Amino acid sequence: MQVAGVEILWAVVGGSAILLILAIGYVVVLVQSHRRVMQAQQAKLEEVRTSEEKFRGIFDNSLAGIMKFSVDTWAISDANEAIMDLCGCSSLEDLQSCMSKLPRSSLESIHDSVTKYGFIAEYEIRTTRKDGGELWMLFSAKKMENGPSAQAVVVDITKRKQFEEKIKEQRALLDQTQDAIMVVDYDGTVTFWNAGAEMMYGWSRDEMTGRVLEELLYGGARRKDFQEAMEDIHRFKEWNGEHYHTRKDGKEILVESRWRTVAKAFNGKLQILIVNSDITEKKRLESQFIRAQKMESVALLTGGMAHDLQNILAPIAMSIHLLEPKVHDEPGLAILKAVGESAQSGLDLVKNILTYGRGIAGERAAVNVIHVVDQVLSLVERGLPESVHLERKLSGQTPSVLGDVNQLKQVFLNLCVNARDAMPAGGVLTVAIANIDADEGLLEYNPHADRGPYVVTSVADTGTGIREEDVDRIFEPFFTTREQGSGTGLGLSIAQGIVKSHKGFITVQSVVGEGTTFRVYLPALVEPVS
Amino acid sequence: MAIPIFGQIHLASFLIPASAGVTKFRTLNKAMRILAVLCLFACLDVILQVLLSMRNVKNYFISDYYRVIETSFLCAVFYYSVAPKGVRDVLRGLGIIFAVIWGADVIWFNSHDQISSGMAMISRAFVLAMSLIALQATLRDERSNLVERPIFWVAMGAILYSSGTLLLVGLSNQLLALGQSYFVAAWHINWTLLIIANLFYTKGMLCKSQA
Repeated sequence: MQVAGVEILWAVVGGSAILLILAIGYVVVLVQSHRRVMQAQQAKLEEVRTSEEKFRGIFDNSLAGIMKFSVDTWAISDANEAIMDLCGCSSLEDLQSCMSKLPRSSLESIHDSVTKYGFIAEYEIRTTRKDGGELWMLFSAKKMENGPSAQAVVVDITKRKQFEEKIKEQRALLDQTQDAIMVVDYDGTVTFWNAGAEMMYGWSRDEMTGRVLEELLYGGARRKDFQEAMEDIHRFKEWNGEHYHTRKDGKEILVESRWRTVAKAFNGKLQILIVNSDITEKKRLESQFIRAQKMESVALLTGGMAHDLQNILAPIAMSIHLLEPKVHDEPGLAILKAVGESAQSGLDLVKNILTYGRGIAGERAAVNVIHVVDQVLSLVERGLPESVHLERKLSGQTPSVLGDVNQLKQVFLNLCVNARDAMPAGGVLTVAIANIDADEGLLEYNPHADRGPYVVTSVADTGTGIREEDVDRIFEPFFTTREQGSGTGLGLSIAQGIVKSHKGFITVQSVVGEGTTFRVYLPALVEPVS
Repeated sequence: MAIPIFGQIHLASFLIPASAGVTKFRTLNKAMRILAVLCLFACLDVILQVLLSMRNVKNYFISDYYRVIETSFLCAVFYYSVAPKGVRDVLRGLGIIFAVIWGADVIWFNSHDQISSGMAMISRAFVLAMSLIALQATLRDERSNLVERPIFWVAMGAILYSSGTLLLVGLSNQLLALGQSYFVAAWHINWTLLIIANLFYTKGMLCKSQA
């Protein structure tokens, strides 16, 4: 019995021990397994922590402002020092207040873009710092994967914007000038084109930027001018001179051009700064002035020569009359007659030259130009071929002018005859009279004329027209486009001399193949003449 | 019969978790508070048993009633210590099944004149099963170190005690039949494991992490 009891006891103890060992073993296995998992977990956590530390460091030390905010409410949950400094804030509450001052349109744009596309990139916002200073920020944000939050990166671009404003102001100043200012690369590509250039050439800034200057402004043979200037720029770094340029509308203009090399600020690359002044008009006035001086010199010279010739021819003409009674044979009389006619012809020519050179004083009286023109046209009408149609536009009231009727008739007759001769194949001869007040624009081309009312008589034909290079010369004495022997070339010179002596002026407008219009401006009488 | 020294030590060990539970009650989580209450019940249980034995009154019925308290309270401790709903449902199911079995035992089988060794074994088996389930569920949670969690120590105590005494309580009537000396000698295992379990419960209640 005792043995059996001991055995049972040992069985209980043994069995319990086995169960205990099994339980402990099971628990140990579980704990070990958990420890391994935990170690792996710990390693992972460590890795995450290190990574988090790294990114936290980037977040905290970034020079760009970084913040986390709710896209819907704009509640800021995290922000780094940089964005605090940028906005002049010291706490998240301050920053929240600063951000709430952003323009409503900006907030809506950011919200819409982030909600719709998940991000917004480099959005420029103007706002104020906490201390009231101006703040321009470049705002980029990306929606985070979980929840309505977004992470924003904000860069202070206030200085950049201020520079841009300054540049804009300077550009506006450049645009105020009448000169064309442009910057081109060494290959001729336009990088800057001011408003003056737009006005001068008709090409807009957008049209010109990126285009090659040579191709647009230097047509045909003019390209050589560009290349020569470029050679000088390469050698001497500057060039000054005059170039003919082609405008967008095809017209040519003469410009005074000043080229200088300049270096780009950011990469030192050389460019050419070109300043062009349109001197087309200036040159035209200069040539007009020179021509007027030339005409005066010619008038002076021919006047002197004509006077001398008159002195030579007058005795010959008078001697003919004295010799005639003494010569009885027919051949002698014929010779005398021929000499007399030649001498008289020479004297007439001299008289015309003197008229051109000195002008003819004549008898000045109040003249109704309509009557004068009407009389002239009655005379001209008879000599017109059937192919030429005369059109009168003489109706209306015109003031009188102070002048010599005969001289004025000579002027109008000369112009009408010229018009007729310009229409060998027929056409329309239009004569019109009008009243105008001479303005600055008109007087600019006729510096000797006075301001005030004028009676303008225009004689227009639809004939062959006058070539551009001849237009400037038609008032020169002895200049004629007719065949040799069919004209003296003094008609228009004398007409101009007469009109000038009446304190008026003549203008001409001609297009080859379309016709020519002469306008005679005579100062109108404003006070009754006794 | 005089209580052996080791038995007295074992009795004293009940005061450790009870006092720890009372003093730290405010800082304990729900599960540990239930454990603290259980420890107080355990104290009452042993005090009653000692008092009755000193008066030569059979005290087996106290153990029978305490058994259902212990098992259901431990079930509640584990229930509130684990998060997964499925595990909780299993624990609740085990608790209900045990209560039904215990009820049936009390009504139809238990005579209270001897140790209900069958019910004791069943309760140990249920506690063991619940402890292992709770521990397994706890292991899946990798948020913190296992030894820092109260449930680990409670489950460990319950596992050691239940597995070590499973056979002992099952054969307790046979041991008693062999003689008092055999029973006492074998019962040292129970005392030892109870002391260990009490210490583990105490450790569980003293854990800093009560989340």
